[in-house]
Amino acid sequence: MYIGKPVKRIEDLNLIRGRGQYVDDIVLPNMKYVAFVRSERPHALVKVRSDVPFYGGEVINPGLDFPIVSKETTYVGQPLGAVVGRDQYEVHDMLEEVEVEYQDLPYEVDPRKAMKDEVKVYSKLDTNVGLRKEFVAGDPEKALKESPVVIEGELRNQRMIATPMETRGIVAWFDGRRVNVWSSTQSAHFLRRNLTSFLKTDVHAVQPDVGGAFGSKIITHPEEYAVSFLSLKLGIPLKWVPTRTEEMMSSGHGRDKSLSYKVGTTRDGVITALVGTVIGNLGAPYQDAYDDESGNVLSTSRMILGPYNIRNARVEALGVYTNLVPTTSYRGAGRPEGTFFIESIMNELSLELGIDQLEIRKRNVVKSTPYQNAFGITYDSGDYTEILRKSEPYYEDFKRRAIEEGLCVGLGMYVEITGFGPWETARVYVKSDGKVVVISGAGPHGQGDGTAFAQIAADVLELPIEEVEVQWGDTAIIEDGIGTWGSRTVTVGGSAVMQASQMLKDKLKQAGSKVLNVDVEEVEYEGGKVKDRGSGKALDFREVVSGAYKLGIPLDVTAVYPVTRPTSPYGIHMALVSLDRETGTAKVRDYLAIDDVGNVINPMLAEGQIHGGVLQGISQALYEGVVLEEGRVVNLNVVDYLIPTAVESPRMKWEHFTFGVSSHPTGSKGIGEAGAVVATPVIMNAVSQCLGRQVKEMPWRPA
Amino acid sequence: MKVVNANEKVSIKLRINGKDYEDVVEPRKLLVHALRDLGFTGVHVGCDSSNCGACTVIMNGKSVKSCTLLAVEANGADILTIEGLEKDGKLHPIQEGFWEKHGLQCGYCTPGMIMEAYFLLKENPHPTEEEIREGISGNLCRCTGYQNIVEAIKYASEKMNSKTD
Repeated sequence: MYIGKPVKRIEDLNLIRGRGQYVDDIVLPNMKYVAFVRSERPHALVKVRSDVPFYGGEVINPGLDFPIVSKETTYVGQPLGAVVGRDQYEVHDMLEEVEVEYQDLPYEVDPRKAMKDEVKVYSKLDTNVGLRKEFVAGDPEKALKESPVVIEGELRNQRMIATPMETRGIVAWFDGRRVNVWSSTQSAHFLRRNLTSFLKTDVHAVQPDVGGAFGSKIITHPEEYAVSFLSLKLGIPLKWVPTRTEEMMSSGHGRDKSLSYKVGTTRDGVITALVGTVIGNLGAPYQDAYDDESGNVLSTSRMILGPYNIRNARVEALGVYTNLVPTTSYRGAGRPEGTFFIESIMNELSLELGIDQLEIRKRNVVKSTPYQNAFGITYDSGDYTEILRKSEPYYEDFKRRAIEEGLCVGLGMYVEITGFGPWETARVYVKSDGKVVVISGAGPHGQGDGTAFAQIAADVLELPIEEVEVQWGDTAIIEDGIGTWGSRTVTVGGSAVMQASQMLKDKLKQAGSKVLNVDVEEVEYEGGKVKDRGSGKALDFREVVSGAYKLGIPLDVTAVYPVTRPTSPYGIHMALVSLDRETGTAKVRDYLAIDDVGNVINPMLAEGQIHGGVLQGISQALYEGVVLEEGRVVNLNVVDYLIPTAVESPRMKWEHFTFGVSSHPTGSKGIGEAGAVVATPVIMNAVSQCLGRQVKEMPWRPA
Repeated sequence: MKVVNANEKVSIKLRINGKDYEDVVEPRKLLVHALRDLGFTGVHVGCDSSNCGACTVIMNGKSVKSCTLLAVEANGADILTIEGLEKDGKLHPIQEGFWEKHGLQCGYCTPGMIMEAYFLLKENPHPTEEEIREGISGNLCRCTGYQNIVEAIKYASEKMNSKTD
């Protein structure tokens, strides 16, 4: 069995030798480069004068301002049009030849003010409020009135920039029949569907190696539409790769939500009511981003209830347009904000009521699963009380060390939604020499799912993993696919791989019986061999395969695995944090993650996801966040927007339990986002414990 | 004194991974682009402000960020990139360490990170964990949280020391 083992990655051999192929590594004959002129104003009417050929919105999307501006720009960094030249150097020279005349319009970057509709973010909007939805359960107002303890306040979860080490980028080439694109994207298939409908032309999309994304490469970006369009119009291969500054001013902005709340409890700290308003800053009204982020605002609002049994609750969810970069998914996609809100509230209650952090969670936690939270989300399996019990000795040890070493302990519990649908595909076929090829419709870009897929297929087919090759990211090699996001790939994509492998195994058994010239009921499949029970005659894997080819039996199957419901991992994380009383500097000294993510397909890779997610979560608490001045983000490079180095990163320890598996064939739940979901409140709660008051804004800045 | 004007190109020589290359470049061309254009696409660009270290190569024995040197400045230099680390089809212990310890995910920072580790272990064959973290603080990684990278470098250090001791 490979499932459950820390199998080393099949992805690594190319990447550690510099043989990966990321989009900027792709060179086509006669290829030219594209660069975009970007708005320098948050809201303005624009007129462009250019001494070089310039392709603006009037060429790419006449009469519209999206994806490319024709007339009215709505954020700093928005693409106004493109120039095409020989190389990166020439196109950046050409940008100097383009003159933009701005007629400034009033702008608004604060969603609370934008909600009033005194300033329209975009002239064609009826209102800046893009989303308004209310979730109600029980009688929260009455419960609040009857609560002996009520706390209230406002929490802010700041705007972040995903900042994958590789920016976006695309190569597009119209071959006379269809547009071929290679893009740094999270899904070739999703990109293909969007481009096909925009261009009204068939598109072949390839996702080459991708240098991370963290949600920022789910949507189809304005530049991807524009470059694909220009390749069709100009008939030459085009490449676009932005600079880091451009990337940070135009992509990957996430989070940016606030919660104003009133929470009622008993004197023992049992929550009796929660009433609140979530305001999500959507940024400018770009439809692709809206479709992405509006769902995240709803996720935040519905997950505010956390892993706690809260039956009286009202949350109003608002998504508000402002003159900032259109907001999109960032690792966790709405769930981190919801978790941050409820875990901050838990810690505030602990501080206000003088109840121990772990104890107050025990008093509120959901007692049994499956459990449907008051806003309708089902937590499918697991034992929340038990994981708190398991965490106790670790917590006691942290508390002891905190006293001895003058540190503070922070806790955070979470429940997550992962494994979103609607479906995923997998194709498995065997070459005539017996090599098994697994193709996934998902689009891994660092998470190592290719290795997990190989483990799954090798186990089902009872073959050495070396016989299995895994591919993805090309719309020409599998019918269709959804993509990699929402911590769905191993679970949903893996279930499709498992089903396709089982289908192939059945086919191999049938083919083997034909080669052996006996009934299929007479044979059994074991260890890659097909054996006739009667005669004892056995064919090895290669003999079955070559026999099938000779008999004209194709060994190529595709499974489409439909998702009926998402699955919920959960866990409790804790950290030891030091706070320098002189400078206010906080540093994470030790970090422990305890998770139940169902069946763990590959513990080494799962732990790697926790390390990465946790550091991003820590970084939101202590380091990252955009800084605004006069409607623009001013920290647009990795000097001023602090990405942690190895020095800021603490040692992290991971423990996992399996009290609840998912109902998917893999039995797994997602872990890609969990670390980022919970680490932020863990750190903020530790800082708050140090100070004896709940800190409600991030990143933590010494006053 | 040789003078090259803005619109002129100049001929340069680079020794890369033990082989000689000649190139004709504009004076403004960055070394990172020259290396990539010569086919060394394992050298990556991750930022435009010299912070991320994805472009790290070894030049004349020192680790440098190749985005912060002009190709003409490197004329005559001896350069080692990720592509030159493997010897006779055998992974360098640092490459092996990254594979063994799961020190990479998307792989984009990996070539620069490995080259920096190569320099670090040349300078300090027995680094402490703190020295490793300091030593790679010019190299950003957004995927791994660094812990397994530290483990990978420790693995390589032990392996390289047991060979030479």
